[in-house]
Amino acid sequence: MGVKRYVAKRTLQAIGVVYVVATAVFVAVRSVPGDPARLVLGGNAEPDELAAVRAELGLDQPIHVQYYRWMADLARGDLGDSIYTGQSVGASIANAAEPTLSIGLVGITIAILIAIPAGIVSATRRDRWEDYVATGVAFLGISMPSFWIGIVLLLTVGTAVPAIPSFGYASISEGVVPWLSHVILPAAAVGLPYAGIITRMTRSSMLEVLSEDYMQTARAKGLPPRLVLFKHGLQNALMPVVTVAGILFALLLGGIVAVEMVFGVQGFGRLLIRSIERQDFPIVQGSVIVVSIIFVFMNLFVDLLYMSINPKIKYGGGA
Amino acid sequence: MSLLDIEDLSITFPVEGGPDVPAVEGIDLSVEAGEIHGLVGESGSGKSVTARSVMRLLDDAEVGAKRFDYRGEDLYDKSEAEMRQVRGDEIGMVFQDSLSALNPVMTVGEQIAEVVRHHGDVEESTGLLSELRRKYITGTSTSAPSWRRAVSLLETVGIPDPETVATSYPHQLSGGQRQRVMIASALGGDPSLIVADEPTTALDVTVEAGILGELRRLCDELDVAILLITHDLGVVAETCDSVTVMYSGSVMERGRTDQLFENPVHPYTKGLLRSIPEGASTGGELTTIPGSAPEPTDRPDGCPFRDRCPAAFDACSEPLPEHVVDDGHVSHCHLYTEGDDPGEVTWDAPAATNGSLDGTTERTHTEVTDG
Repeated sequence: MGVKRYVAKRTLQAIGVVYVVATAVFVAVRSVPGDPARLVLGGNAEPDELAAVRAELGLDQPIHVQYYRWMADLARGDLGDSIYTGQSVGASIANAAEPTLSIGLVGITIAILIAIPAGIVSATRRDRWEDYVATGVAFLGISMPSFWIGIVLLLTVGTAVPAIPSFGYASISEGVVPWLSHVILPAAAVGLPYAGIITRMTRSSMLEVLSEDYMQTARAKGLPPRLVLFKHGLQNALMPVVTVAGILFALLLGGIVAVEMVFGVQGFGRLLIRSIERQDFPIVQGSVIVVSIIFVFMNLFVDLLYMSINPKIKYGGGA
Repeated sequence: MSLLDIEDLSITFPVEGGPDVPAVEGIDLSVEAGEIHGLVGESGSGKSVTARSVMRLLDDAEVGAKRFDYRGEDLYDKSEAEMRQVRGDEIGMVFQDSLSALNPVMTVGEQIAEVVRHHGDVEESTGLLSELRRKYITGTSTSAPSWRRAVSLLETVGIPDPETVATSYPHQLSGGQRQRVMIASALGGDPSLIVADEPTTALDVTVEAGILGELRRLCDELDVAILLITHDLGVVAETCDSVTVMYSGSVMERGRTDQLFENPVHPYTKGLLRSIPEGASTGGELTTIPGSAPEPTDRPDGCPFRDRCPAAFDACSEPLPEHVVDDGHVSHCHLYTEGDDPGEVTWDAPAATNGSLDGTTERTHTEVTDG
């Protein structure tokens, strides 16, 4: 099976997953106690006003009709409008997603740029000072939650370096430099715990690879040590790291919600929490579905990446 | 002058918080140019460690020798950079388990071609960046001289359809093909010596015969010497010109294959020859040497074999002597220090376990035909 057919098959499976998630979200949101129409209008609303709002939101329809409409709208990409702002859910999420994805992707990039070299140095200089420093810092990173690292960064780097704003977000459309200067601290805050875990993973995986027979074969060929390490060792060592790094992406997204609060970023995490508080159910529904889509495709991306570095894995096979 | 000439080699593994492990204690080993020399011994005799010491691949061992000469130059006097020119270029290595000894994420063609680039006569850059670019971005061009040489080496070692096999990954090949790939990669730098560490142990018997035949042919046609590590005297009889028999870190006997097989003098060699199962099973029990080899940390003084030797006597606790039996045939046994042949060692007397089950079949284990 070629890579295109494989991606097509996995995409079809992803649609199935999103359908199941959409159903679960529908059921969950309707099971929550409370009346959205009363929340919109406040406690003193007249019954006919309430009925009008319910009719507008489609809440007066039988449950199966609501379900059908929900799925039909979803299939057209229409997630409805916010109860509070009246803005479309798609637009609200897109606005909020940009800062969150920026922080997440820059965070991952920082994490990988730190962790993989640190893990390699740690393994090749095992039990020397470089190893102790790397594993010590990694342990520190794992031990501290993102929001705490965020506060510390804010109080140190944020106050010491005037060029780095400590609050808010600038869209990438305003230029790369303002964007990056706003994103760098929250990204570091979510990236550092992630970097700690990947450093440890890379170290142990690389140590295992260093003792493999094919590394001795490479030395027996008279290849220089750096070539033995980077040509024969690295790709093998990264295989388990890629798998774990993909799974941990979820952890990183979770960390962003709190970090957005620390840095006053109007991101996806804030939108979700505020919408839950207000029972703005169209936004909550839409957010959960968007997150599930991101996860499904992140997994697909990780699987493709893994296959590209491991020739033993073939496209196809089971689900 | 021998191609490889090692005198009084000792290899010790330091153990933290315990006694050091002396894997090899004062052995001599020499390999002539263009011959196949068998280094035979049971597990733990130190033969594999000795093989690796030739490539200076033992990082955590203390290696000491009076002389460790390759072409008259001591390998242990060389710098690490000089040693890299010896590895692959002068001495190639074939490991036992080809599945774990070949890199799983590289095509076998590239694993051979990189040796050609580093040691062969091709004008291709071998810098870190160009090698990494080749591996991760462009791949090795199939029209590159190193790749073409890799394909022709695969053909040399008897692989059909070498162009296709060169683009395969190790897990896609059979065990026999993989071992041939290992041999091809050892040949990549046109070495004068190949150290083959039990190259056929992981293979089944028919494939083994093919690989041994290949080694014999390469030795004869390319004039490359081979140090063949094995635990199988049958392999030695079929393949080797000369042989060194090791037991528990020491050499027991060495000589030309015909000398050793026709006129073994050391009781251990005799015991080994007697233990080779002959042809089709006759239904009898396999003959063995009673007992087992001592731990390296717990060897008796003098001859390490004396606790299992039927001819052991007082002098055996003295350091091993050297007795020249014949030209090139040397035995390290106290039985010969008096200067004359002590006569038959009593291996031939049937041991209690040496009867056939039905009591009728007579077997003679001392005669082993030189195949």
